[in-house]
Amino acid sequence: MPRSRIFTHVFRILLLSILALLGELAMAKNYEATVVIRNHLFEPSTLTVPAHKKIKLIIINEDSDPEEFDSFSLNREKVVFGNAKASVYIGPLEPGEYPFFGQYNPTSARGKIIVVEKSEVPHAN
Amino acid sequence: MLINTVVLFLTDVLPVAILTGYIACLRIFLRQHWFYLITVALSLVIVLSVGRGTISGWFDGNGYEVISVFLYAVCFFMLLIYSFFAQPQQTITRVAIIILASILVALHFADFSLYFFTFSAYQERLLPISIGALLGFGISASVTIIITVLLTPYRHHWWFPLCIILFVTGHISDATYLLQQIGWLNESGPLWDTSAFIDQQSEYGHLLQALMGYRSSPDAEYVLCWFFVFIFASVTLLVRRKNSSVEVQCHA
Repeated sequence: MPRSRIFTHVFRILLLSILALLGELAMAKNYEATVVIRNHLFEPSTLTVPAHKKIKLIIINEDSDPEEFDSFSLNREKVVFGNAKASVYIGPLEPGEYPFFGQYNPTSARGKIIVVEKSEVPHAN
Repeated sequence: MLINTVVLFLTDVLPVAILTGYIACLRIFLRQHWFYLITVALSLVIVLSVGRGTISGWFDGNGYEVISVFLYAVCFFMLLIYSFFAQPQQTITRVAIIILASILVALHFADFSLYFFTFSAYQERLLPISIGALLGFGISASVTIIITVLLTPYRHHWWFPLCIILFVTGHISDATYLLQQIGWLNESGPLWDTSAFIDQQSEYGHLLQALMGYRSSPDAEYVLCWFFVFIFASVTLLVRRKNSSVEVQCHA
């Protein structure tokens, strides 16, 4: 098979894959939770969120230094600059505990997200 | 601060050390090619580090993730070019490797440089950070040397390009998490959890993650992306090998 034809097939498959990926765009209404970084600590250090829902986690860094929100169990990494705000989407998650930490201050900046069934969440929207 | 610097250095720089080892094994780079690689990578690091605040503001605060995903997509094309034209001495292969390596180096160094330059600005933290970076550099350099020495004799073996494909696949697949992080891709939950055997936070976990994108609790999207990239690049490599052997037979 000539190389040009192989490239055409490769290009078509890639294009279809990208379209399939874009087709997965999130459409559901999201639950929002906020955590503040202050003096290299997460406040609150424990967040309770509903299970089986996509969650928009807003991270507000009130320190002057940047911090990296990091979680192995959630597979998330996000740098939040000093005196700035950022957001990450997590979930839908199964009930359980998902620890997170600040990668630049891992001894002090630690917290966890507790995922519970919707009926157990205070002020669930 | 010292331990944290070493851990951060290893997390961000270990993949670069492994990649450098693989490239050194290939023995296709002359001095000027290393110079091009360092220049392109350094330029990208500066752009991503200095402009990170601005870039992050794009796409409703998701600019850095979007740019990273775009760069991973470029890496994927470069990987295909490497797999398809893997006559190592060809210029196109060298260019593909330079672009691919520069992007991976830049994405990792940009993270570390932000930490390094922010916290070394504090006089009391400068010493532990510098010592930590030096220790991390020593460990990373050792990894590069070990890979180069151990694998160079096998660089013509059929499995050697697969090691490079495996390595790059692991990093490109991170794009799925970035897309999920910004809400552009849905998340299906972990397919399995192997943290009881090899924890992702452990030394082995970090090493396996750097070598092949190991995740202790990956989701379906990550696994699909991983297999897609690995199989696509491997098949491209096999097609090229088959064509090469046919050409050799024809010449004979």
